[in-house]
Amino acid sequence: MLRWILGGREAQGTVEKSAALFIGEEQPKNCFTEMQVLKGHFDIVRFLVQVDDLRFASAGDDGLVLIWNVETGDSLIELRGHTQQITAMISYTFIRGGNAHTALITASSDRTLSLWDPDSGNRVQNISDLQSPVKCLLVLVRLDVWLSGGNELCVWNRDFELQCKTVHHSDAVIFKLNLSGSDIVVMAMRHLADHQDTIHSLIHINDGLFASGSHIGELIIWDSVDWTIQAYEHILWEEPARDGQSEFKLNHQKQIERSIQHMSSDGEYIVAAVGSGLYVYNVLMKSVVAYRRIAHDSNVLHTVLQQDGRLMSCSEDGSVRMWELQDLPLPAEPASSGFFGMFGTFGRSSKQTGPPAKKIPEVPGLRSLELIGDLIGHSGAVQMFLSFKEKGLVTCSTDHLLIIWKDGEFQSQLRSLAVFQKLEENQEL
Amino acid sequence: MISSPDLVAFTKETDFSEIVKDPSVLPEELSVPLYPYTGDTTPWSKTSGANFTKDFILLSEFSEQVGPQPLLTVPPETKACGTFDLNHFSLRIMSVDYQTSLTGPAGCGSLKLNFVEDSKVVLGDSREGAFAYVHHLTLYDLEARGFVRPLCLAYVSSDENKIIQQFQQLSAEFSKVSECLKTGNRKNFANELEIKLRDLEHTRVVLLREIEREVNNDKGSCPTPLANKGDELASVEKSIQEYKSLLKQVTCYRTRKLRDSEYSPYEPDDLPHSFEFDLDDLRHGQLAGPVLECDVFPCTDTPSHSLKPINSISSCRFDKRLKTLEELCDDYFHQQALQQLNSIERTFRGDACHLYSQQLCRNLLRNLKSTNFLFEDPCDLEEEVGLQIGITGQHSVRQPSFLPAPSILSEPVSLESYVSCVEMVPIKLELGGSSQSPAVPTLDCQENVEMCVSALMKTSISSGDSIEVLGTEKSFRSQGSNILMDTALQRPPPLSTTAVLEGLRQGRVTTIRTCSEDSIEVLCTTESILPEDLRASYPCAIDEESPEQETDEKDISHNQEDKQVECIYGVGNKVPGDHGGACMEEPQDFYPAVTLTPPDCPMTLTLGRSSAQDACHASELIPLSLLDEPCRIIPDDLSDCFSYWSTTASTTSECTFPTCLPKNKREGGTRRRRGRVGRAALQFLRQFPFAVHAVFSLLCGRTLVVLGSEEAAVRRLVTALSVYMPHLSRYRDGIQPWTSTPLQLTDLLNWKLIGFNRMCCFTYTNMPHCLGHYSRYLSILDVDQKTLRCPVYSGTLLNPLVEPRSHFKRGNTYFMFAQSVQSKLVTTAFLLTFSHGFHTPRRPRESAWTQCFHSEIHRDDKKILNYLSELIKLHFMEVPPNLLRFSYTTNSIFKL
Repeated sequence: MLRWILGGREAQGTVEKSAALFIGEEQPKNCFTEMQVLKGHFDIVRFLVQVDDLRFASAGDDGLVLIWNVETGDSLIELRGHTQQITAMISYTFIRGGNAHTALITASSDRTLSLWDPDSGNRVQNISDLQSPVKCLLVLVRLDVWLSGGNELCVWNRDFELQCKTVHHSDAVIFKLNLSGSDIVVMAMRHLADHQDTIHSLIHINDGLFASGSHIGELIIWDSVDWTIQAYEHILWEEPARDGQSEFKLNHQKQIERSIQHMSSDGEYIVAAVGSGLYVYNVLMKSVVAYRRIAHDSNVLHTVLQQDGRLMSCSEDGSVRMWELQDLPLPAEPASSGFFGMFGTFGRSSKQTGPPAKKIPEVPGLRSLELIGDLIGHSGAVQMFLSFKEKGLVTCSTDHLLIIWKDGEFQSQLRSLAVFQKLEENQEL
Repeated sequence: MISSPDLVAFTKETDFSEIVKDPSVLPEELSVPLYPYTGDTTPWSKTSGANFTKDFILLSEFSEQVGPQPLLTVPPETKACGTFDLNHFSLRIMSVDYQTSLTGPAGCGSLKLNFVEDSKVVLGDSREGAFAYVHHLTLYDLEARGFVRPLCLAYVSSDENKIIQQFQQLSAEFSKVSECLKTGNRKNFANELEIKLRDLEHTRVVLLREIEREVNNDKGSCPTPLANKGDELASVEKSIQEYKSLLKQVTCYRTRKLRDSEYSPYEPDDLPHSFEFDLDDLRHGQLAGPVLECDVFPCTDTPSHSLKPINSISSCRFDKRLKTLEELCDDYFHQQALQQLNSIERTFRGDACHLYSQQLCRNLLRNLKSTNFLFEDPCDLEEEVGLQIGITGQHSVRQPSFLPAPSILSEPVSLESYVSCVEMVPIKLELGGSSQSPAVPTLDCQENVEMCVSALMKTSISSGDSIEVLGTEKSFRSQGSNILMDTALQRPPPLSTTAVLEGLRQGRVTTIRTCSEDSIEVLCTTESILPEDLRASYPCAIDEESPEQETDEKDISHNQEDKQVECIYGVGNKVPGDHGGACMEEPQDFYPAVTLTPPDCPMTLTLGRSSAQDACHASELIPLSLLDEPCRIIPDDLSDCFSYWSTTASTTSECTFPTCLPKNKREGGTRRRRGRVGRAALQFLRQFPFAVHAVFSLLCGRTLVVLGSEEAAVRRLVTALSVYMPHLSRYRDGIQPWTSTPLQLTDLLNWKLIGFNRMCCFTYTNMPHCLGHYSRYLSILDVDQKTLRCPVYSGTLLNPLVEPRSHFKRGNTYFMFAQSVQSKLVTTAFLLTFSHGFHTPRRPRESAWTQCFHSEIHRDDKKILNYLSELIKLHFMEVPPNLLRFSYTTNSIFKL
């Protein structure tokens, strides 16, 4: 396609075909028409954390934490201190003196944990010489404690005092509950060993349910009270081999990654990033809502389910895609592959034409997941994104950049208002 | 034939041009005044009878040996003057008796220098057909009669109207040159005096010794030679006193003058330019530019000058060779003056009408602050204050608000202590390696500075006083001094360093702080005495004689009571006591304070008070006149300003935008460049029938990549397309004429027109990968295959730009036509930006225009206007345009 677009010699005969494919450049539902590129990191940016309505923090392999203003794109404060890459970052809001303070907790490969004040840039607390680097952090707001997980699980209070910790626990699925009282004790309550392979993602769905996803595509919905399996899905991305399908697809199929790298939920639906595809599951109905086997050219790294039935995903291919759940026109008319393909970026469309819905007749409530827009800008994998609603969307990437995507119309109006405000201040009106 | 010095104070602008005022039309600053000399003759109807082909600048001297003689012309004689008799004309222009008072040579009791103001007259010689703006000035020469060397600068033209019309501008420009020459001359003159003084001192010592010896040797035996010696000694002492007085007058000249609000000390106004020049010199291994020499403390052991006894019998002056201009004036300033003359010649070259309309255009553009950055040539927007038409009065010379020369206002140091300094502190400081005394070992700047400082410390020790120097230099460049003191690695701006050192020097030397009551004499203001052939002359001579001597004495006596000697630089509110009502202009400026405390304390240099607001103001006022590069002054960070310059200066080699050319080149070449660009654009239009779509891409902010394998072709197209490209802001051009590195995302934000080398990354497809990746943000014009991939334009606004492609023959004409079309776009965009109803749609009453915008303007045209409007908004809000706006639209392919 690209060759054609730039006026390759072979372009002449294919005008009509191209007309259909060019629809992909027109994205009426994509409101992000303005971007701001934020430079400041020197290595892969992996984490984005919202500090408040205006600010967010970014961190990555260069050990830097930068605080940004989402409206202006200004870098506000640089938090320096970690000597190695940052492995986890979380915001920690606590009440002190009647006011809510937001701080940042970061964990790094240099085996330190730090608490930062994003207003002053001070490193408020620091713990070094941990036995192992912390891989993940979790704040329990209700108990005002936070947990760090690595090779061992530690519970900390607000003042960075270690409350308790477990000894080295195995890689198998262990579930622990920390009992509160005056002393906090961590103990293993139950081992849930139903997964066949390594668990990559674990999310909280609602008060009664949580979900876990494994490397081989097992998705298990658990009951949080009695730890029983509510639902078990094994996503195989399987297609019955049909005569009509070309062979390269079969070959292709073997390479398909089924690992569930990321999940997100809004309490009713779960979106799982399975390989380079997306899988939407309704936990209440315990049924598949929609899926796309190949939603991206490469592994999907992060997903978010939005309120209005839309979802976003970002991938190693450097793009962010926006999807909409749409009812299929008629069961008899399976979503045509060509239709989906059109929205894909040209050049990939030929690969994407595999019909995603062989199961359509079998599952009655199945809807389609339609691409309504994509954001192309990063030249490396998009690690994560963070939405500020109407203020924009921030993406971070392996190309060391962050991009704020904004609604151009809205921003233009804001600027006009600012202009008139300035005119008024200067009394030039 | 030649007028007597007719001195007309040039006060009101109405004298100069009568602007038709009609309250109903545009505001005055936007109205176009009529061409002021519309008689029954058009500017073209007159044919000049002059026998020189074009205007030139003549520098003449009234030599005391041979009378008036031409020294040099700009451009060189052979080119400009033809058969014109320069000698004759020099005679005429120099025979004006403009100096109102000249004291005779050393006859009277005390020598006195006259600081005669320059006179500015228009002289004409109708028979020769030559008219001239004549600027008389005097330089000082110790060996000349009355210590003065009268010179005159003349702008000679065959068009009388041009001279009269451009009088103000000429006057402003020539004043700068004159000030430059005089500054350099004062420097040399002071040096000369120093040498002379030291020789005299030496003579005195020798004489004293001899007398002593004779007295010791043969007591009372031979009274006559002793008496002779005594006389000699007396006369030597007398001349020492005289020369000291002279030196004092010279060195405190600035001090006195700065209280004059209308005085503007010489400053190089094209600082970055001269800075580049410096860098060039640096590259050639020598530090040139300002030759910083504190020759005022001459080295007694400097081999370049050996003390020689002065014969008290003065030698006959007339058999001496007179100093040349180069010798009279410090080398650096001399070069600067010559450069300025060249630049003046270029600026005023050409027809009066052209000049006038150009100035008019600049003047009007200057008023369109919110939109003029979009399409106008940056050099048109330069604040050439000296070239303003009839708005300011006579003294339209810019008040130094950014980089002024130093001003000295000092509490007097007693002359005795000065002499002791001279004798005890041999220091020769040279920051620029190319010194006039080559035997001095070259030290690096840091050492020199340290040496200077330590020497000053020594001075304060030796004089036994603690010296506190409270610098209150008028709008002094803080970083200049900081650099000087802290990091000598960065080169400070040429003059400001000179200023500092000169300041230090003069602070040590100068002895008066008087309130000079300058007398301004307007000799004659009538037209009646004008000869027939000189219809108008606008001369102005201000003579001043200050009774500084008396106040001097007072000050000295006053200050000798004071043990703490204070030297206060500049004019400021820190001046205690008797300063009284002297001018306290610009009290908001920078006050670097140099504090020299008793010996054990290190010298500190602090920024006494700075006003960011003022700096901000300055940068707003003169955004481009000081900065030839398209770079931005950060208002609140002036201290970084200079290092920023240095970075831009060092990277200029990379950018090839016209804005980066030095000012002189640009001014001369603007017309030619426009013609070239316009021609290229016409060619582009004829070559590509789908050009309008490419133009649309540029005007709606979509980056256009010109892809090709042949650099020249790509560059040509980029040049052509640059006509249509709105500048992102005043300081950024957004054009990258040729690049081979793969595009990054940030490049798209910075560049809107890119020439791209197809060969940079060889791929099996035709298109480099990076272009494919960002294809939705790019329009691509493929030079090799003659294709264009971009959104289709179907609006109407741009059609005039591309339709008349067959009608234009000349590139210049098309360029101007394109600009006029674009200015219409800008007008609409301006309306869109600032119409209040448009942005608050909830208001019940929508303006008719808003409705029109929504209903009648085509979608694509809206895109253009919106883009321009966004740029205007960002410019207005002073936000750097650091965002990329785009839209998801279908691209089409056009193919030849």
